[in-house]
Amino acid sequence: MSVRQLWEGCDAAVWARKLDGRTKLLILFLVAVLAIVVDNPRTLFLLFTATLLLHLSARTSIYKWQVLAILLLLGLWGSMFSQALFFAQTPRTPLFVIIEPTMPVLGQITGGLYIYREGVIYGAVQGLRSAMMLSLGLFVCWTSDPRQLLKALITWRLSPQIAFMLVTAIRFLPVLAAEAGEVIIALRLRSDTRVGRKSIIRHLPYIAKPLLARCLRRAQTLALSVVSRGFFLATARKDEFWHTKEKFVCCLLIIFTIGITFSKIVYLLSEQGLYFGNLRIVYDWTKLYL
Amino acid sequence: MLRISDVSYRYKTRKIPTLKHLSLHVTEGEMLLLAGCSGCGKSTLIKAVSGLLNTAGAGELDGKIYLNNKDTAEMTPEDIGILVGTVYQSPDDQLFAMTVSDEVGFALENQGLDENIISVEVQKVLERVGLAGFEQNSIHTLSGGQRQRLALASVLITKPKLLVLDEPVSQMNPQGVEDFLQLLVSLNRIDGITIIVVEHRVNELAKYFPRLAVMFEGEVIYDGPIELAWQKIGSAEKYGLREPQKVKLCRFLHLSKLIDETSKVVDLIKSECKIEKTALTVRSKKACSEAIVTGKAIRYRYPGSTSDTLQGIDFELYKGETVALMGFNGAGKSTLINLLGGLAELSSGELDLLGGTVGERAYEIGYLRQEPDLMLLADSVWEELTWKNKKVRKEVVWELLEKLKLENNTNDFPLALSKGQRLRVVLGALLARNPKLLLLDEPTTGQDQQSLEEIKKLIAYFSQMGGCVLFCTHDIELASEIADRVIIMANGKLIANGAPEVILSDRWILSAGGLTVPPLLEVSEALLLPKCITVEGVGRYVSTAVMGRL
Amino acid sequence: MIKRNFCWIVIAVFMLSQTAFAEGINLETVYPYSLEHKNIYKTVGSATNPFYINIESYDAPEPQDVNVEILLPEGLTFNEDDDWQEVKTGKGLIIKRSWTLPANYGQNFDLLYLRANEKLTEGKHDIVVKVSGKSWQKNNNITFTHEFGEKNVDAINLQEKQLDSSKFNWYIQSVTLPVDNLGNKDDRIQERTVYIKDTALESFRNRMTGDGATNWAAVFNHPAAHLLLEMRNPQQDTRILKFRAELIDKATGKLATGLCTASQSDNETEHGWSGKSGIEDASTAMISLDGKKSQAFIIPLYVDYFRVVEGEYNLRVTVFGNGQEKIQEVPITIAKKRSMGLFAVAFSFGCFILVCLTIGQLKKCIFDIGAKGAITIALFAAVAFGSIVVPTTLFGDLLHVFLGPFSGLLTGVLNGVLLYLLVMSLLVIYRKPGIVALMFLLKWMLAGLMFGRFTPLGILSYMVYIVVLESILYISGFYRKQELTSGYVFIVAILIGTADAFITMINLEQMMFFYRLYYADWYIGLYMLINGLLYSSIGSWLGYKVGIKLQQVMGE
Repeated sequence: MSVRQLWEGCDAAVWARKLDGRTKLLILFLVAVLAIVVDNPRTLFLLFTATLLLHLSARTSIYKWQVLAILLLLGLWGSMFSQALFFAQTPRTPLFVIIEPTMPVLGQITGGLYIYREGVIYGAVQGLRSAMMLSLGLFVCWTSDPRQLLKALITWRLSPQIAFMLVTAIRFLPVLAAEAGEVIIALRLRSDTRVGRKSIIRHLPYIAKPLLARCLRRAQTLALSVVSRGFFLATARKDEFWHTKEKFVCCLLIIFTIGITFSKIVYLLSEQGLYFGNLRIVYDWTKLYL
Repeated sequence: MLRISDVSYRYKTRKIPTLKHLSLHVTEGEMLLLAGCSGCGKSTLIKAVSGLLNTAGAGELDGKIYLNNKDTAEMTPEDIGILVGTVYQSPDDQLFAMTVSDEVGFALENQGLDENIISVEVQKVLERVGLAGFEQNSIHTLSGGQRQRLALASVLITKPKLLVLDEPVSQMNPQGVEDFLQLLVSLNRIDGITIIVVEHRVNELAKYFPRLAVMFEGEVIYDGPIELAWQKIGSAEKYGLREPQKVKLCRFLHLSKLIDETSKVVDLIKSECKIEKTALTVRSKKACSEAIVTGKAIRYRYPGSTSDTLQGIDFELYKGETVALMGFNGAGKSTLINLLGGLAELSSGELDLLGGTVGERAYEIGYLRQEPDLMLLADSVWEELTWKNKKVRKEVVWELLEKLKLENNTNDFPLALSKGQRLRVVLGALLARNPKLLLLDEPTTGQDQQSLEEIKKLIAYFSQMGGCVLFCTHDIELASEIADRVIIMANGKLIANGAPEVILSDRWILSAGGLTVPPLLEVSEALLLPKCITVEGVGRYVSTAVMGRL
Repeated sequence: MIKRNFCWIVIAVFMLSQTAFAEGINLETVYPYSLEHKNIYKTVGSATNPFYINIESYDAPEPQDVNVEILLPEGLTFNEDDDWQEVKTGKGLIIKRSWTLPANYGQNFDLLYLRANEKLTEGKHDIVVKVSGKSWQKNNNITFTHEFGEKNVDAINLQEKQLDSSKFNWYIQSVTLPVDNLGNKDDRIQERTVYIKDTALESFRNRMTGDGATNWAAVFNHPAAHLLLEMRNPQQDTRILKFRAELIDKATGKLATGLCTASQSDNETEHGWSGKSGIEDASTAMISLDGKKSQAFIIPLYVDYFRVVEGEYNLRVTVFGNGQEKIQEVPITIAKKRSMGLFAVAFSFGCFILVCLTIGQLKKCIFDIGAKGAITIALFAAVAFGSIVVPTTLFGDLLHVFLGPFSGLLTGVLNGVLLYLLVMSLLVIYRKPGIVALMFLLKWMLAGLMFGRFTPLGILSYMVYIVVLESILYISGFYRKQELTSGYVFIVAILIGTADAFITMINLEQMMFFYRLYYADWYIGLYMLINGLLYSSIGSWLGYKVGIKLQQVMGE
């Protein structure tokens, strides 16, 4: 499977592909809000599991599951690694000492650098936030054409000119990638050493000028073409049909997310002194589940 | 339909006007071929007609342009866009949407039309240009020719009265050119659309246009019937035009008329020249026996592919030789040239370059890719020629700059030079390394006649110095003119390998290699001569006319 | 008149000579002593009370040794002290010590603990204090009244006496925190939780300037919380006791860093009045038992903001003095108030609102730069997306495996150098407000459409980029400058680098706030310095160089 195929949603289940772009984007956004609001590890895990279930029901291919797994594991590892180093709660148990606090300069600046056992676990739990967003992001990505999402943005009154710019950028992404590859080939061909002929990384700094010059020439041609075709006349499109069921689900999720966010905010305010007795049940609920 | 009346335009950054008192009148339903060398003002004229010349501080426009008797100065570019559909060169750069239907429907969407109406109109236009069924296709999946048709469809959607096409076929192979021009002719004849094509490949387009206008230094120096043009304008090369080969033959044989019609040329030759059955002169053949490249049973398979792209190829390239590599798109030409350039490694077989592998002798190879612009890396021409090349001496660089006609551009930013100059800079950078083998992938695509001549000279110079040139091309005329040998490929195999006169005059090989029949082959066949494909070839059997032009 | 003046002069000279040559001693003694000076000269039951002695010497040309003798009445016992010797006589107990009084001026003081036993009769008693030098002696006589006190107290005393009366005469009843400075507890505030302010950047600055982690001035200003210490004093002792609060690691039971005492300021290097408390990891104080059976103390807890670590601890409260030590441990939570995080989020929201309000200007910008400009921005954004977002998404995590959180320093080459190269080169070609906004907006939308990254944090982050960069460019006059000179662009590049450092900080703080992550202050500083200032400045400068070349390709 090519990288392009990987990023296309042609093999997803029909229901997932047919979902309106607005529904997908809204769910994505609301879950991102929930990921921020929720603190309870169990709830975080439940949300994360829910995103995986979406993949399951969308019949994500084995190959894509593999990619998802790799990205999720790498992401979780990243979170665990960083939190293992910077965990700033007690109790904490240093597993390794990377920099002694007494070490000149570095030790003084960092105050010592350790790998904390509790940080690894904490990082894994907190990593669930980014994991669920990654998982849902890929679900949206693998079940939709960029056009579908763009259409959603346009119906939400995205300026047609900005929409055009966006489409242009997406359209030329593979072209630019191919051209960047072409520049690297040119650099390899013109290299004076055998290593240079094989290497790619060492040529990267020289890509910018030819690639951007090409962009400017392309912009010249395309501009002439689109102005004649009424680029500046375009106005925002009227509302497009949005399936009632989808609308209903979105409304429910919005209410749910607002409710959760409200609970969390009043709970946090209560901790800071703004306490209302009649919200006690909300505080209890938030403490237990959020 | 279009009346350009005494139009002059000067860019603020320039001293001399780009358009000088230019007048042109195109009536409804006409087909006009507007030709001229690079920089003669063709593109500026198109912008002026489309109402896209930036007059707000960037330049001064005088004179009037009328479209359907309406002054374009009083119209917005969008209004003009409904009347005039403009297709620019390089279709890839003017298609912005992700799917075919989105691209075609763009103009109507901007007019605020209902989606259902747009959908119907898109369908109709796509059918008209031969892209029906491609509605939901990604633009990336289309071939070059299909993209050009799509670009055409995207302007046809507004049902323009006038179509202006700027070098629409400059990137196409001969077969694609023919198909596309057939479509234009049909649009003109059936739909009554007035068509102006701006192009310097006059040789291939002439037969479709009754009228030719030639621009030079911002002026129209000829405007009239195409068959009279060659006689009137004199040296076509001076104006950057690529004359039809038959016209060249008429000029070479000093025939009384310069015409592009086979039967008429044959009649003229028969009436004005003496035809010999044996050659009057013999073409000198290069004696070269020192092989630079030897390929044996070369096979190559792309990763993930189920079949070999190259299927056991044997060939040799000799010192001082210029070889043309021809064939269909996808025949394996680029793969072979990439193997020679060291960009891929053989799946099996042997490839010997100067007694070593390609990897070992990489420094002896100069490889010009299809997009020379993407090979320009430095901030000045001088720097470009000496890029990662410590061995080259200053004197050599200066000599090369003279040969490239770039001696006055040493400090210029290469990417800001003209198209022809940019190509020459890359060629110069390759030559500065003194390679033994020069690989050129479609080096003449989109180049005007002047530039083409410069490239020919450079290739000739290189092979004279003992270098070997292998170039990919669809241009039979170029191959027959400069190649010592032609290799034709089809389906990953070599189907022909030999002298151009032999190979390119074999109709079976031409057909199998996806090549068009050389114009002079028909002439020589009609004259019952041994098969000839070049002017010089015909000239070997036909004596110069005594009663024709001098 | 002259006579009168002469008299004055003689008197003045006499006084001066007296001042120069005379040496003086002031002897001050108090029993029972208390900080509040309550119940003075009165003792009750078998309470232990402090005896205060202070010898003030002045105008002494050289140090001198003095002997101090204190004659106690019968029934008054002395709690052992290394510096004092006791001699029993028929009249009572004499306690002695010698002191060296310093030259010029000096104060020598001490507290002794005296306890009444059952032999001390009710009524008035005297304590005689004698201080003698080489050729002088000073006496002080203290008269105090002793009462037996209530019966139940006696009962308790008797009971305690059976055990070890000296150790059970006072104890810690309870420890409550947090309370306000008046000792009031607020039920709405989480019990046993101390919220402390966020000093991440301050700490980083201190470390960088070599001042050490702690800014004592900041510590000195405000206590982090107040603690209500309730003491039971059944024997109604009047005593000065020392109080110490320490954080104890729950897992290991070891002393943890975090608490301190406001006894040491920046320029104060000597011990404070409660000992070396600024250096040890404890909050210390002195408390005075004033003879009541139950007494509450509001004690400030000082936290070393720069070293304290959030989390669950035990707070060990120790009250000690006079050979006795009472300890109580209570669980405590230390929670940091993320002021920087809050600031970052508030700032981002501000930026978001600002962009929303000015979004109409972007459309105007597109019309100003024309279709060509708009397409150029789109293509540059595509390059930015393809060369920055895609590799950092796909390979960034992989780098994380090896480099951990420091992988950002490598991917930062793309996010810093390459991004600003593109932005700056675009700005050189189209120098108009709104270009940066459009570029970042497109880059964000591309990430959203291609990778499904429509997150609140993403929106806020990009809004910060837009507002900060547009502002810095506007303020620096970049948009109004007629011609861009290398020198000027160099300054702009540094400014952009600084702006990016700020953006980096805001974004990391937001990450910490929203995703409850931890990053060390030095780590944030490192990113600000390398990814922000260094990479972005280099990128901007390179962008300028590329931009002026690309201008030549622009055509007419």
